[in-house]
Amino acid sequence: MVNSYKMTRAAELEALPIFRDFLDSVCKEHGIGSEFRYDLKLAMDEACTNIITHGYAGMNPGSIMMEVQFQPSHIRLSITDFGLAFEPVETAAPDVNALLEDRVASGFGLYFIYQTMDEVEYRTTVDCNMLTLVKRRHAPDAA
Amino acid sequence: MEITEKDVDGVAILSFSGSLDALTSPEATDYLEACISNGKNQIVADLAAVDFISSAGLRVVLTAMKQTRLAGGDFRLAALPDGVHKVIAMAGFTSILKIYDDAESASSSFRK
Amino acid sequence: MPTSNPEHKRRVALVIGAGSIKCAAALGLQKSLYQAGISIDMVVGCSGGSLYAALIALGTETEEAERLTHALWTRELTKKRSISALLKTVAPRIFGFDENFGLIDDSLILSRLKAAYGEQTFTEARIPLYIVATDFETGEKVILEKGRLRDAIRASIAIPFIFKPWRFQDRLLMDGFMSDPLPVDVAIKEGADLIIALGFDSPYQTRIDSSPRFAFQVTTIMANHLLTSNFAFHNLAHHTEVIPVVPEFDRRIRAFDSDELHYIIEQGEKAMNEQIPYVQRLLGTQ
Repeated sequence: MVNSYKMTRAAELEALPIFRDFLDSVCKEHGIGSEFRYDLKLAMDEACTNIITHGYAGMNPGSIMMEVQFQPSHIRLSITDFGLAFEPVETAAPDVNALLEDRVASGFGLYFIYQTMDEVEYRTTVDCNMLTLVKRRHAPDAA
Repeated sequence: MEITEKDVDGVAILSFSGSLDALTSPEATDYLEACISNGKNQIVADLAAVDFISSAGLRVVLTAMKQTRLAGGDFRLAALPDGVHKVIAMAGFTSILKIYDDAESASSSFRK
Repeated sequence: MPTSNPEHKRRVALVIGAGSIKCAAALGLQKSLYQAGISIDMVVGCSGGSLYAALIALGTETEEAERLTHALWTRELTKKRSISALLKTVAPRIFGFDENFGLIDDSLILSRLKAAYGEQTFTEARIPLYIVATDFETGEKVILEKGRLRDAIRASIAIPFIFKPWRFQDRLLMDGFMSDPLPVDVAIKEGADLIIALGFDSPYQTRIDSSPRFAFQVTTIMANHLLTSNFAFHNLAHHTEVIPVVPEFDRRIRAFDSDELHYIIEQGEKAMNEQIPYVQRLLGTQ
């Protein structure tokens, strides 16, 4: 069975359901349960939404490349884009005067990624930004 | 995303289907704002057929909740699928919103 | 954006957060609101606040409520150590350590709650009353709104390590301050427009020379942080304003300083009086 799948789309909001459906179907093929699939789609959707709305702000939308790898112990999602790097320093100081409604979308997005994934790694090079998300297939036993 | 509307004793029951994400949420917000502007401030959102919600969808919920309450009504949720419930709960919204098992009990809750 | 409907009657909630004896300031708030002709449409209480939330909901006169508190909340409550808890700690297997753990013997508080609230239930409350506790097994916040008041209160004040958890309506319950020290979210959910929130940062111990004091200190640190973050979120999530009422005390009030009761109520009244014109403006009555 193939263990790695790739998809590339222009960074537009219309790509969100396409990425989600793609992720859902390959996960189904690998027998991944619905709750687990939802978590993966949520984290991927939040990450891509952020790239689409902020990463390519003020320029023509470039690409988002998604790769899903199935391993016996975990699933690895890699999301690569070529836009502006995510600036954790700036996001750490949110605009407290903005409406909560406006902050919900961006604030909860990252929070949901951390809540649903076991490992989150962000790397940025001169060429691209790459977010790697890992979710373990079997949760380690609670201590 | 699709929204169908029906009126039960002055309560607007909006059934959403599909996804509530960054792509569809502006449309959902517009629809709800139009409802509230037309004087419907007792709204039930039946989410049984919603297969996906992200933080962008939460923004829709929060906006509708505040606007209906400002108008003296309320925005209540019904029939949350597991994934949708998880997202609502992770955000802490279960403690500030009224949530029911089905649209019927949500709409009758307005009559109590 | 739709504007607020002027015909809609604004519902006022009084939320009394955790704060031990300081929660008695709620009686001062009630007095001040009554004098200003502002009716309270619902009361929410958590931990120490549940004692006063219940009294206010029952329609108890301020003087009577003060008298009841004098009889109820004194330092003796934490004087008597639970011998079985000590034995269970030293030899958990022999004495059968279980979830019913509390360092203090709770027989005195039980008899005092019985004397103050008798067999009254939530149905006897004149205005909707909600008491917040925490499910010890699942960690969930639990909103109590039916059953015997003294059971709900006993659950809501089950200070961790100090008083053992309380089984009520098939759940093992602990102090509400562990999940929601100032439960304004309950008032938001129940449709309150104007929320008057009486909340306190819990005081830190001046010395730590006993296991109960050590336990108090640990839980206080966590609860104070939880209070800050919950309040910030709920305040922003509410469609109108949450009005915090913060009585000022010129001296340190400890958890069981019942001698200070009168002063606490006065300071509560004073703090509320300062907010009355603002509340009236929001209610459109001035």
